[in-house]
Amino acid sequence: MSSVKYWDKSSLEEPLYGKHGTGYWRTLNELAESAECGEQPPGEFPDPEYLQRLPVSRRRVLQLLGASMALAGATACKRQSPEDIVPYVQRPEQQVPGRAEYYATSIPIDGFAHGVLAESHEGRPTKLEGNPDHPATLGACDAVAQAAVLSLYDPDRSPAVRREGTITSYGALLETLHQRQQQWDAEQGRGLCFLSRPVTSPSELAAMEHLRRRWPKAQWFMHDPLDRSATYEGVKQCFGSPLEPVYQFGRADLVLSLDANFLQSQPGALRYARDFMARRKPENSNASFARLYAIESTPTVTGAVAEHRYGMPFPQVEAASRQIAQAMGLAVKAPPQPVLTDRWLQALVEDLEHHKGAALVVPGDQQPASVHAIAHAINAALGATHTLVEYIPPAIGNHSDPPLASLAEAVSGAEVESLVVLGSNPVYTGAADLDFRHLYQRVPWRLHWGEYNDETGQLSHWHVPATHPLEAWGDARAYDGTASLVQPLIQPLHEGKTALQLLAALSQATDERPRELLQEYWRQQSESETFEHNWRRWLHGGVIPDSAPTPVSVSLRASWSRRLPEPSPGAEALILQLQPDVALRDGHYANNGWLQEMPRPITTLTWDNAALLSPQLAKRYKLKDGDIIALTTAVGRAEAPVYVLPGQPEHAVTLALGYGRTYAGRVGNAVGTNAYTLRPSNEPWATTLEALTPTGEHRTLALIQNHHSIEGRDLIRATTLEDYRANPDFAQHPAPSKSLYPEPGPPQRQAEHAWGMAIDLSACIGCNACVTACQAENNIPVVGAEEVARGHDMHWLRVDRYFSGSPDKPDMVFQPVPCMHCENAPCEPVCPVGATQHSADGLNQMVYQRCVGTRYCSQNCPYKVRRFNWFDYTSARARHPARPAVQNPDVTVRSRGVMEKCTYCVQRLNEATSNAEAENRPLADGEVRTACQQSCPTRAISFGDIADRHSQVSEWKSSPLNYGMLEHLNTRPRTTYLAAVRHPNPAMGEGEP
Amino acid sequence: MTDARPQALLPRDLDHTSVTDRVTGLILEAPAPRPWWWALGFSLGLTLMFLLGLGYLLKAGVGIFGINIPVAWGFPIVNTIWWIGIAHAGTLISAVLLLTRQPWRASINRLAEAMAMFAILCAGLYPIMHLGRPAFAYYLLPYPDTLGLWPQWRSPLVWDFFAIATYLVFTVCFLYLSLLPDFATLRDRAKRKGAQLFYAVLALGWRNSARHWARYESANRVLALVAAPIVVSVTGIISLDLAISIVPGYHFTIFPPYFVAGALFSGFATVALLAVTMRSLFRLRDLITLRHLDYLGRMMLLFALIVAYSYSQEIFTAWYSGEVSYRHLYIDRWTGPYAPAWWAMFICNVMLVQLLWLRRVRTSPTALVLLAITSNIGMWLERFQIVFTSTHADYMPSAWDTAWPTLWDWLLYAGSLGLFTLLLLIFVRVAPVISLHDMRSLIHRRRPND
Repeated sequence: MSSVKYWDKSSLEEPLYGKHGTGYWRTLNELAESAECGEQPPGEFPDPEYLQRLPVSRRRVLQLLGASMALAGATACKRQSPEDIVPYVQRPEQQVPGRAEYYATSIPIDGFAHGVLAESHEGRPTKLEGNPDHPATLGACDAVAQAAVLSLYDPDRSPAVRREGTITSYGALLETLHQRQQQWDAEQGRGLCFLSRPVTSPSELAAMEHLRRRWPKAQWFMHDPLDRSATYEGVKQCFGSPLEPVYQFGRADLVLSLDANFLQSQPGALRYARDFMARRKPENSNASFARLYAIESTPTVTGAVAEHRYGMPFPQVEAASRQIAQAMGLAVKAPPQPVLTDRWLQALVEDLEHHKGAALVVPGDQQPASVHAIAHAINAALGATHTLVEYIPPAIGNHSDPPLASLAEAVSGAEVESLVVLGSNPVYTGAADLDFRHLYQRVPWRLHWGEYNDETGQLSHWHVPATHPLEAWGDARAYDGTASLVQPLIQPLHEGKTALQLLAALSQATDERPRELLQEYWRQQSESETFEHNWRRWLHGGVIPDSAPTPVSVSLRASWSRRLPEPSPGAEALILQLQPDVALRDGHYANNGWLQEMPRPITTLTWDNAALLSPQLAKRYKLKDGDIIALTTAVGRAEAPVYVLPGQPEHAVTLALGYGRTYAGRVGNAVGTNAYTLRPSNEPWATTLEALTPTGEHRTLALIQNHHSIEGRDLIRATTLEDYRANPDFAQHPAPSKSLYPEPGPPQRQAEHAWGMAIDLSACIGCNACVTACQAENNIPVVGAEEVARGHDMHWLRVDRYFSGSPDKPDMVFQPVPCMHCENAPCEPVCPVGATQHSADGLNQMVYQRCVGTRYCSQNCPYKVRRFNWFDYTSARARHPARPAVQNPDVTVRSRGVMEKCTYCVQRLNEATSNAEAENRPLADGEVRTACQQSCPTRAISFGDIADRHSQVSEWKSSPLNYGMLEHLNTRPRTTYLAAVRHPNPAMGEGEP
Repeated sequence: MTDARPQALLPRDLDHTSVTDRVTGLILEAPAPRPWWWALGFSLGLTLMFLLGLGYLLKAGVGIFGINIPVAWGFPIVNTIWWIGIAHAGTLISAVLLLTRQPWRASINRLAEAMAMFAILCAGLYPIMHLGRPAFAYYLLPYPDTLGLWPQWRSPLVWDFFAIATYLVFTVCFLYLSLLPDFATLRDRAKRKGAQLFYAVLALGWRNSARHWARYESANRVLALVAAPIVVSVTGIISLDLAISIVPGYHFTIFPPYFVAGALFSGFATVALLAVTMRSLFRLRDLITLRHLDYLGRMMLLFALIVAYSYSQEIFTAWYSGEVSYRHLYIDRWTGPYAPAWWAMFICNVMLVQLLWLRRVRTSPTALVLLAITSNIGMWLERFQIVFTSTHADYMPSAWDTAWPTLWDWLLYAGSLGLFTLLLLIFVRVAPVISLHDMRSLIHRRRPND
């Protein structure tokens, strides 16, 4: 266009400037003639030559116009996969619009498979439940796995292949890879490095093995920010080879945890929690009641469940384990300073000896190898090996690959020519002293494959989007080695590639079909004639039968203790303890609103990783919750808000990993503090805190629970097993006197069912899986940190946590509080428009359409379980818009200004009762389960028909432990609690933790 | 005034003509005093701020207020109760003092009624602003819904709705009725065509006939008879919003009389405030005399003592109930996060008002204005601490939380003060600020020694 000059208004005015008299002109053209205009527009009928010279011809303009019009509709198109997609001509059998279908699949978390049943509505996965047939879950589902379905619809997931930040095609990558492969082939892969996440997938490991063989000089590294190498190292010290310990809590009468959060955070936690808590049933007078001792560096749910919890800084756990081992007669050098009191140690050791054969010691994943070695040796001494703890070849097939630090060394030595990062995010998760951000950029060719175009993806030459597990074909092993398939419920929403696809591309530079790649691997593992049948069975059941490795027979090496490092004198310095976040893990799930808003157990903190300080330390520095402090370690400095946590060891500050992301997405960016900046690579879990400096700043923490003492209120009833056996009716307090007025009770209400719930406080471990399950099932919006901090959180179910005892050695109890569905509900009569009503079958119902938002019901609710839509939390204008695709179509999405609360999952009740009615049969007990009940790892919640005297919930409610909370208000709650029973060691004296 | 004899309620030289001249002159002839314009400008600014706040509230939702779960009721409820309380004295002065034939009511009843009227308007706006979905406020009306839905009659909020609506209708009638003869006077005295027409329409053809007066008197008497039960029931019902619930701190049987006394206390304080302001603004020192102020001071003291007694009974009930939540509530009110509000309330409503025992204080306009202001602050704090402290720490310690007012809370509160002042300022320029016919009848019945 530059060749053509057009006139503008100023050029027309110019000729008039400075002229006197009347300068007449006839047309603008004439006027412009005198202006410096290179080319004037022609007259009304320009000569053809002029038109020829124009850069775009008239004909061309019309062509483009026409084509734009014709193709306007094509902009919404997307190239579909070559697999056949045919609309239903005849409806597939059993597929009814509006009725959910369930598929078994697996969600890998930290590499380990969680077997799930995915609920799909018209081809759209909306909810994940645990797969009852999967050994790791047994039907339960933790918050992280639950929340995977939200990540599926995360708009910030990487949508396309990028080359240096610009979107390009997968074909372009394959072309580049093709060229590269020739180069790698020529040098046998010299200069080529792979950095992988922990991988349990057998097919992926096989594909990796193929690449290893093809390029023998290529180097492979494995980066696990939640480093578990000490686990394998410790086992190796004891038994000679790195093995994965698998615990059988179902057989344990006594468990000692050495800083192991085995109820929530370690691989297999769901199963462990189920097995262990099943051993703690007070009603079962024939079976013994398992006892738990916990030595821990940060209060966790495991410590909260424990009868005897001993808090100590992370480095002292080794000293404590040495003390225990020594007291048990093992040849271990004593620590220079004893950390456990004699009485505690003696009581513990006597108890361990007493339970020989049924006692188990569990070392924490983060603890050093020496603690693991000592624990396994104690287990051997206790006769637990092979019965209570089995050893299997690690499911993580690449655990022996050198870590990120070795890669950093290789990069510094300029040995790395090309680097392929497989599902890892080392730029963010690398330890601070490695400075991997800079090292990474020194690699001449960098390819990143991951679900998000994250910190590493941003700095890579090539970024390839990974598929989400719900849209991928794959496989994974569980904590015990059981393999299961990962099957897609939906076509990839973006251009994601599965791990197998990418590995195939790396080796052959071709775009393979993900299912065929997977089938190809498993066909080789199976007899060919039965493969098709097996394949369908595996997909249907979600588990590949007999795929778990047989436990390895081990024997303790005599030299095990000689390999232990010298006991180090415990320094009095402040320790910074890092720990995996129970919701975000290493930070991978930072962009998931459900997980960000899941109250972290014990702290009830959301949307932040506060530095956990002991009350004594906080007092010394004059700090309170929310004060910002600067933490300095040998490798870095970071600022974090303080949370004063009773039970935190005095000289230890704990900070969770996984926060402070810069390229997580719109939800996870700049949430919390990046603890990796404080992390040295040689001391990944605990390091000396060089300085703790209050900055004088403050920010309000997004806490769900602000008051931590129970104030002597009669809300939680608990006792010891001894007392319970002597006085089984301890939980029965005098019932409130009868009202003078006739009140609607169950006899007056005529209905087929009477719904009720009972929650076993002995079984609840406070993990908050139920909270996220409720959020997923009931379309509960994510409101964000500011709103939570203002008390506007929306969870229908909360897990109350109360401390008792002294602040340095507190007892902790948990109490899940959903709506009580009071028979005599205080919320009902006060609503001026009758928007909350009682159903005949005993539900306290909310009629959203009728609600005008006076909030009187909430004011009058003594349990404060009602939640109000203060703002518009769901529409596209909201701060955290709800993702329409993930919403449960059976549950109303609430608008601004209405009250909401737990419904006992009324949509599930209605579905189950209508199914039973349609099939003309009575509703079976257990046929309908609430979301919280279904997800609970420890089966702490029972729900059903209390009119049926044989239902499980009726049985629970007839237990002497059953009590109603705040019954004296005559609310007659339908949700009741079974009083907590614990089993402390009577030999442990008063004042001992 | 150090005079041993109380000052006369009426100046000796006042007669029918001069009182009419003076009061109508304020409207028809005298230009508005400069302070009036300043006040108008200021209150108009506040009113615009109120509208701005209202607009944002409707756009964003009630989350802009500093309320949460557990403290789901906030400023709108506090302000409703407070404004209703202020309205009450207005009605009571007009009605009860009329029925008991208190001669001193004549020069302040108009002011009191107008105040009541505008206070109810302000009070009535807040419950709507309080709603999560204000557009559906009509669900509280018993209208013939196609689904056959009715309001829930068991809810005190429905009673409340009717109480406030009744009160508003009543106050409009009562005020307008008492204005009728005065509008007629203005109509007759107006010289400009526009004013004549304006007041002619408002006067509804009042011709000062004996029959008119007879009907006026009986209507007025009926309304006055209705007024007392309405005053008691409106605040009583509003207090039931709280007392019916099971929330510790709300659930006290003493609430209805306690709230009525509190309402009258703040109402008399506001009348005193307005009376002193108007008498100095419009130079009515001879019509609103120090003796009037003395009486207002006595009424304030009377109701303040009832309020103080109620406090003591509330505390006694909390202790005597033996219920841990009730006892904790009071400890929390004294020592918890909202303790400054309780103690400030105690100082304002119980301690400072004791000064009113002294006649010197009662007859000092400055002192009375100051005490009126502190009493209104105290009564506002009383409602604040009842609404905020009761649910912030009730039965479930895990749910305990504090809620603090936001900028929008304050802005809408200040805005409603502006709206109230604006309406009152316009009113005094449109209608006689002192009831002419009442003054005339007072002069007529004046005894020689009075």
